[in-house]
Order: sequence, then C-alpha cells, then structure tokens
Amino acid sequence: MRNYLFVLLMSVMVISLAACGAEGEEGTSSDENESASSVELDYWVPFSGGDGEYMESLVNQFNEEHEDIEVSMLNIEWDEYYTKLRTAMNSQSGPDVAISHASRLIELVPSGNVEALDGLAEEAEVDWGEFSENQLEATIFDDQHYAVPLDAHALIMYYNKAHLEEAGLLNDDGEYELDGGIDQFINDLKTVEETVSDDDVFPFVSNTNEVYPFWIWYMLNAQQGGSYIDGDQAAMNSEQGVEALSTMEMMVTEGLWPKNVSNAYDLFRSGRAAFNFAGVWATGNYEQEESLEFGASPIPQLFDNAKTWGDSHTLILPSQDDEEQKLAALRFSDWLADNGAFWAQAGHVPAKPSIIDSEEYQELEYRPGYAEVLADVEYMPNHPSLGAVNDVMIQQFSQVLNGDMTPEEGLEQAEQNAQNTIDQN
Amino acid sequence: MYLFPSSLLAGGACKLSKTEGKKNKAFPKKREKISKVKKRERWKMNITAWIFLFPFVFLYLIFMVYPIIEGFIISLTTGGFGGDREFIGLSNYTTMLTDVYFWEALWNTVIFVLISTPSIVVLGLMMALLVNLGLKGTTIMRAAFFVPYMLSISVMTSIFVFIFQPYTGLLNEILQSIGLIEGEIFWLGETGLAWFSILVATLWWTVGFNMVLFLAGLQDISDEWYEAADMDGANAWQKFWHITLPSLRGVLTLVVILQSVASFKLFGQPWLMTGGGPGTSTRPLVQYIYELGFRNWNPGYASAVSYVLFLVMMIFAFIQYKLLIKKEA
Repeated sequence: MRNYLFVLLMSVMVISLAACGAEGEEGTSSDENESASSVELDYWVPFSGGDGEYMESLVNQFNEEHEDIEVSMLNIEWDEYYTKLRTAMNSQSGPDVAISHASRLIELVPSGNVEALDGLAEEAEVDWGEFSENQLEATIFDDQHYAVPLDAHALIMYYNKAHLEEAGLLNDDGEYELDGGIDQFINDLKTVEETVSDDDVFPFVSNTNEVYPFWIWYMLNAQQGGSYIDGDQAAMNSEQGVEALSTMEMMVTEGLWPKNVSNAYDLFRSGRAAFNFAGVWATGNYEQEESLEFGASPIPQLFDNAKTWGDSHTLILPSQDDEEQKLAALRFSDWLADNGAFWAQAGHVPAKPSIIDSEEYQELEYRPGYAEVLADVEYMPNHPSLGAVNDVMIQQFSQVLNGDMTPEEGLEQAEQNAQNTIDQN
Repeated sequence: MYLFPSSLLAGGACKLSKTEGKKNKAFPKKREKISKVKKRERWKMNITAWIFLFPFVFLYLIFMVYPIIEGFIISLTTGGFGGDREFIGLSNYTTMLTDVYFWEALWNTVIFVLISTPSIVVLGLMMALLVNLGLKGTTIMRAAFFVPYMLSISVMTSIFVFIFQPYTGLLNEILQSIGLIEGEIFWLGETGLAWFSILVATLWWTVGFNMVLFLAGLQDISDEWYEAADMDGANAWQKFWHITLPSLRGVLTLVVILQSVASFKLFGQPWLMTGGGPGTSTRPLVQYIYELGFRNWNPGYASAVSYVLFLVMMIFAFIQYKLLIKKEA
C-alpha cells in the first residue's frame, strides 16, 4: 500500500518537473531568436475579442521589415489587462510599449509611469498633425502628448441576413433598416421569434454577464441624453437610465435575449442569432465564418438621438531609462498607426484620416461605413474612477438581467455604490 | 495549501520552546551546575541549528512577516495604488461596517466554509474506506480519486465551465438528451446553483488529497483490534464507530483544519467559473479584496478587509483547536 502512495507522489513530481522542463526550453529558444536583433521590445495588448490575430500578423510584419527591432507581443485577457499593466508599471517591470484605451489614460498617466512623448516624437519623426484631431485630444495631458492614437471603435449592430430574410425584415437592397424606434425594434425581434423556423435561433444575443450589458445600457442611455458621471457625482440613476435598463430587462424577460450568455460571438457566428450588438472588432471574426451572411450597420436610432458607445485604442510607453528602447517603441507605435488599413481588417477605424481615405481602406467591406459611426460616439466621461465605476455597473446589471432585482433597484444601488467608489479614491 | 508546511513548522517550533521552558522551570538549580564545556557544546548546537534554519527564516521574514506588518500599516492609510499614502487611523475599518458588499462577501465565505468542509471530510473518508477494502480495481480507483488533485486550478475550472455552461455545456446536453429537462438550466447563472457548481468542482478537485491522508491514517490502525472486535462479535458499524473513527482522530483534525483554512481562502473557483456572479452573489472575501486592491486601486481598504479575514480565520482556527485537539489530550 505504502508503495503505491509513493509511486503516486513520485509521478506527481515527475509530471510537474516535466512541465517545468518544457517551459524552460521554450524560454531559451525564444531568447536566441531575440538576441539576433539589437533592440527588443515587449508589447502588451488586450485583444481577446478575435482581433488579436490581426495584431499578431502586424507585429510579424513589423519584425520582418525592421532588422534592428524585435517586438514580442503578449495578448492578455481584456478583463485582467489593466490590473496586470498597472501593477507591472508600478513595480517598473512593465512592457516597453502597451495598448491603453483612451478612457483609461486618466488612470495611468497621473501615476507618473507613462512616458511623455514630445521630445522623442521629433527624433522618431512622428507627425502629430497626421492624426485625427478628436482622438489626439484625448491623449494630451498638461499640453504634453502621452500616447499615440491607434484606432477608434464603437458598438454597432450585426444581423444575420438569412434569418431576417425569412422573417421578411430585409428591404429591397437586402439590408435591415429601422425607422420606428425601440418599439419597432422589439416588434421585429418578436417577428423573428415567431417566423424563423429553426427553434435554436435567438432573436438577439450579446453577452449578459460581463461588460456588454453595460455598453448597451450606456448606448441606450446616451440615445436619450441621460447622464453617467457628472464631475465627481455618480449620475446614472435617472429617468433615462431606468428606461434604458428596463428595456434590456424586458428583452430578457420576454425571451428575446437569452439569459446567461457568455459566448455571444460564437452564437452569432454559428448562425444561432438574428441580431447582435457588438464592437466593430467582431467584424473580422464573423467574416472568417464562410457560411454566415451578415449585415453590419450603426446601431439604429432607438430613442431621440443616434448615439453609441465607443472608445479608442492608443499606444503608451511605460517609463524606462533606456532611450534607444523608447525611440524604437515610438517608431513601432507610429508604424502601427500607419498600417491602420491592415489593422482595420479586424474592424477598427484607423486614427490617421489619410489612411481612412486610402484606397486600401475604402475597398474593405463594411469598414468605410464604420468611420461615420464615430461621429455618433458618446465618449465616456474622463474620470480616474471610470474603470471601477464601470465594474460596479457590470455587477449590478448582471443581477438585474438575471431577475434578482428590478431595474429601479439595480440602478439605485449602482449609483450608491458608484458614488462610494468615487469617494473612496 | 501553502500554509501547510509553514504552519506545521511554526507549530513544531512552538511545541519545542514550550517543553524547553517547562524543563528549565522544573530544574532551575541544576542549570547553574552545567559545566562550561557543556554550555559551549549547546552553543555550538544552536549555531548549527540556526545555520540550517537561516534560509527558511530569512525568506519567512521577508515574504511573510514583513508583508504582514506592512499590510497592517497600509490598512491604516488611504491613497491610490503606488501614490502617496495618508494616515487615516481606523476609518477603513469603520467604513467596512456599513459596506454591504463586504458583509455579503464575508457571509458567502463563511457559508462556503461551513458547507464545503464537512462534505469534503465525509466524502474523503468514504473514499478512503472504499479504497481500503481491497476490492478488485482498487488501484485504478485510488488513482482516479487522486488524479484531479494534480490538475492546476485553471484546468480544473475550465473542465467544469465546459460541463456547466448553458447552451453548449455537457451537463445540459446530457439532461436534455435523456429527456429530464427541457430548455436550459443555468448552473453558473443562478445563485444557488452557482454555489452548488462551485462546491462540486471543489470537491472533485480536492477530495483526493484528503482521501490519501485518511488512507494513511487507516493503515496505521492495527489489524489486531479488528480481530479482537470480531471475537467479541462486533458488527461492521460498531467496528467503524468504536475503532476506526477514534483512531482517525488525529488525521481528522488535520483534515478539518487544512480544509477550512483552504475554504476561507476560496478565490480561484468562483473567479474562474462565475466571476463572483450572478452580480456579486458568489463573490468570496478574497475576491472582494483582490477587486478592491487591484481593480479599484484602493490598497488601504483592501488591506483592512484582509485583516478582518485574518481575524475571522484566527477565531475559527482557535475554536477548532479547542474542540478537536483538547479532547485528544
């Protein structure tokens, strides 16, 4: 008996040792590759929504074109990204260049761990005039540039043409158009439910347990002109806010939007949903599915204003002493912005207007229309607690959509907790 | 689990110093008569001991004692992550009293401890008894019970997410195909079921280790006792109740304490399976601490909550010590 136990324990050790060995080998081989070039850059990105592979090809292309710089990319789960990035930057072990959303810069820049770029920009031949003005504005703090805008992105609507055709909701051009506001949209969802013969098809999907309900609520709230954070006041518990959340809850209780969805991209991609609100970055992902025929359009005007949620990716240089690496990192960032047309294949809108006007971009399917969506984006308020407040919303909305509380209760609690979070910081 | 070796060592050290103290008190006069040679020998032994202990003590001071003290100091301050800190006394602790999220997370954690510990102990003991019977296929069974423990938590939770998730999950698919349910059961999406799923995953993952501990205990029980009981005409139940269980008291204490400490530290399973959801209803205290510290960037308050968790665990451990160990002596 004892012997068996001994063997068992030994095998545990052997297996874990073997695992270590494998990791070690991997490490050394990549080191060898890197040592061939002069400057090595660590590059962190939060592209877990299907856009990561486009960035990876871009990085590979950059490495091929530049003998003197070798970039290695680390793709981190979106939800964990800022935790990792900020703790790493704080302990001076951050990457050489990293993606940050424009809305998060206000959390990162005041910590003093982000490099100001003006001095370097001249040397790296970055021309700030090439960037679209409103995106550039979000990267300036105290009259200094702190980030290189890469793209802008927004929440849009995708629809499955086959299912909508069956439900008789497509116009003569084979597109879906809505001009009856939210009531008509709900009616159309019901039509899909009644007419589409495949019972496995949901009228509407978007993830329910993470950030998507917040984005959708934010969009519905903005379309009614509702507020979110006002100065240092949490101001989401308004008539408009409740209306937005009630609309979402009604979609769930009426069975139009299934509960507890965490793989909405896959469901829409595999043809199990008629409508889907998702970021523009899902476009590339959906296109890869050949059997899926879909349309993509701005979120229709459901309330008073055509507004949507959006944000922008920028590239930041976490502080470090090595001038050569900083310069290489900035050159890499500008190169990425210059190659925005390739990045746009994932769905994002390039940050340089000249790229948007380029033939390469204009020839892409769907994307040229996305550039216009950006005019409708209601950007989130610039507040250092924004990320934490968004987290509160995500948790509360998930409870409302799950039927654990009413929209009124949910939003009231959300506002209280958001205010506590703002006050604590 | 990481507390295991250090707490044992710490416990051992305590015992040693206690007995030494008693001896010294018992023979105070003899001590003066000890010759210089003997003193020097003892001194030499002490040096040797310290040299051997140094690597452990050094790391223990840096990675355990220092952070514990520093953490307490941080819990008395406010300020952003990595920024300037301002001393605010106990106000982080008073904030906690009115923080509904804190009470919810504390309650979640305590409930999990109270439910998971007995289930794991009982199930582990049953498995050990089963394996100890020496039936055919025992070897395979023993390996099968223990193998899950070798998986990392991310692998383990991925397996259970795959089983429990709605629309594409294995369990719902099976239940639907044999006609038990229609539609979906949201194993990870409804508070009660989510706790059930977390508990099942935890059981499957950790019970094997406890089984091994029980098995070792079972094999220490002398066969002669059972033979004697047989001669006295005891039935199986009486043998279990009067021989097996009392003999396992030591192992039982160890398992209960280890398991409740591990359950208090619950984090990975809900974090990876439900994200603490729906909403915050499966969020344990450790996850709340993590979110306060590394998502809301509020290290002062996060440290204060950690200290409360520390206190709760101390109280629990103390009660268990009183109930379980004192009886043995």
